[in-house]
Amino acid sequence: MIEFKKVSKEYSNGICAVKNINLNIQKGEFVFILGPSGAGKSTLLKLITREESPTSGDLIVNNMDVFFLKNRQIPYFRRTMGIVFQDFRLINKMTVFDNVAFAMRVTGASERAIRSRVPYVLSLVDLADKERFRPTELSGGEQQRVGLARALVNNPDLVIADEPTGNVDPSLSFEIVELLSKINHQGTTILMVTHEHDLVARFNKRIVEIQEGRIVSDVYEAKLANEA
Amino acid sequence: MRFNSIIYLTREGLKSIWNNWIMSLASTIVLVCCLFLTGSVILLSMSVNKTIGAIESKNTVTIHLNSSVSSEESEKIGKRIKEIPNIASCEFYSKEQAIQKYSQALGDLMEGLKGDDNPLPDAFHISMTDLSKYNETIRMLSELEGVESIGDRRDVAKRLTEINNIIHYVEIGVILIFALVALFIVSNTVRLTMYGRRLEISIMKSVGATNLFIRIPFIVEGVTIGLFSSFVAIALLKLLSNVILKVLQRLVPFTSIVFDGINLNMTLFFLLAGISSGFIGGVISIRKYLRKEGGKIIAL
Repeated sequence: MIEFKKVSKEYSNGICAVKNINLNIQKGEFVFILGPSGAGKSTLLKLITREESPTSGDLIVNNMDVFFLKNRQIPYFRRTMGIVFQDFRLINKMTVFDNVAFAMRVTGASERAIRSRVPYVLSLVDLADKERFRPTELSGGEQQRVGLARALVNNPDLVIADEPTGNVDPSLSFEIVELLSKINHQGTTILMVTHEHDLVARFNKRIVEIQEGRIVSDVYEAKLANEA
Repeated sequence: MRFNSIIYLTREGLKSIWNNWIMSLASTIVLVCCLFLTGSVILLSMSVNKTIGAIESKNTVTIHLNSSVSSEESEKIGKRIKEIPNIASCEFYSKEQAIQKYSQALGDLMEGLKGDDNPLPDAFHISMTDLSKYNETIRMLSELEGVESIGDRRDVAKRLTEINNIIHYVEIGVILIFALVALFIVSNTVRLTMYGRRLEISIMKSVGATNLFIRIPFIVEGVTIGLFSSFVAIALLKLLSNVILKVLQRLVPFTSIVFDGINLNMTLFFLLAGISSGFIGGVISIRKYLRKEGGKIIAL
C-alpha cells in the first residue's frame, strides 16, 4: 500500500526533514508514526499526500509512484485516501451533514449518492443524530469524529490521521483511536501520526518511531524478529 | 463535470459575493468608474468621428458676401456661381434667415441685432458635383467679386481630425490603464475571498478536488461583479449621453455635431469588458494562490 525506498526530503532552506527512509506498509495495516515535534512526521505525511515530492528515492502509494505523478493526476490520487487533521478543519458555517457531504461534492458525486452515503458514514462514527448540528455546537471529540466521517465518506483505501487526538480531551483520545481501529477492522489501512507514547502503548499496533528524519524503531518488525 | 456540480459551484460563487459584500461593493464601484470613464472617452471619440464624417459627406460650402453687396448684386453673384462648372446646387441664405436661426438657439442674446443692426452677411450655400475638383472650385469662387469669405467646413473637419487623433491616443491610454486597474481590483477581491476560504480550499485539495473545481466559484464571483458593473456603467453612460444630447440640441442646433449615444455594439463591448475583466481577474488570482499557498494540506 505504501512503500518508501531510500526516500529523502530536503527543503529549499537546506533542512533535511526525511533522511533515507525505508518503510513498507501493507494493505489493511494500522500503523502509528511516533516521534517528537520536528522529527519529520509531517513531512512524511506531505510526501504520502504528494503535497511535497521526495528529493531522492522512490515512494509508492496505492500502487502509484508519487514522484512521477503529474499535477493533473494528483486530485485523483488523493481521492484514494482520507485525511484526518489535528485541528479538525471543519467549516463552521456548514452543518455536520454538509461538512461530510462537502468531501463528496468536490469529487462530483450526485445529490442522491450524497443523501444515501453521508447518513451511513455518520452512523459509523456515532453521530447519526447530530447531522443538523454545526461544528461549534459539538465537543472536541465529536468534531474529530465529523472529521473522520469526512475522511471516510469517499470510501478510501487509506486513512491518514495527523495527530487526530492532539486537540481533544485525553479521555476522548482513546475513543478516537478505537474508532480508527474499528474502521481498520473493515479493511481500511490506517496511518496515524502522534507523539503520545502513552496512548500508543494502549493498542497492540505497529509503531514506527521517527527521530531527526530517520526511523529509529519499528516495533512490528521487532516483534516479527522476536517471533522468528 | 456533472451538471449538479456546476449548479453547486455557481451557487457557492454567488453566495461568496453576498458573504463578502463590502469588498464586492467596493470592487463594483471601482469597476463601474473604470468602465464609465473608458466609455465616456470612447463615446467622445465616436461622436467626433461621426461629426467629421457628417461634415465631410455634406460637401457644403458657405460663401459669405460683402456687407455692401445689394440684393440685386447678390442675385448676379448667384447666377455667376451657378455658371461655374462643378457646382451642383446654389442656395441663397439671407442675413435675416441667419439671424433668425441664431435667435432660436440663443434667444434674448440676439435681441437688438435684427434689422439694420444685423451684423451677419448674406450668403450662398453651395454643393459640388465632384469633390476631387474641390480646391479648383473654391479658387474660382473666391475670385468672384463681392465674395468676402468662404466658410469651408473642411477646415473644421481637418481640425476635428487632429483633435480626434489626440483623443484616440487618450482613448488607448485610458482603456489600457483602466483595464489594468479593473483587473487589479477584481483579482484583489477574489484573492481576499480566497484567503477567507483557505480552510475550504485546503479541505477541497485534501479530498481530491481538481483545480477547475476550486476555481469555478471564484470565476463566477469575478464574472458576476464584472457583469453587474458593466450594466451599471451602461446605465450611467446612457444617462450621460441623454443629458449631453439634450444640451447639444438646445445649445447648437445648427451645427453638424453628431452624438449618437450608446448603441448595441457599445453595449456588447461593455458587457464583454465587464465579463472578461471579471473572468481574467478571477483566473489570475486563483492561479497565483493555488501555485503558492493553495497547495498546502497538512499544515496551513
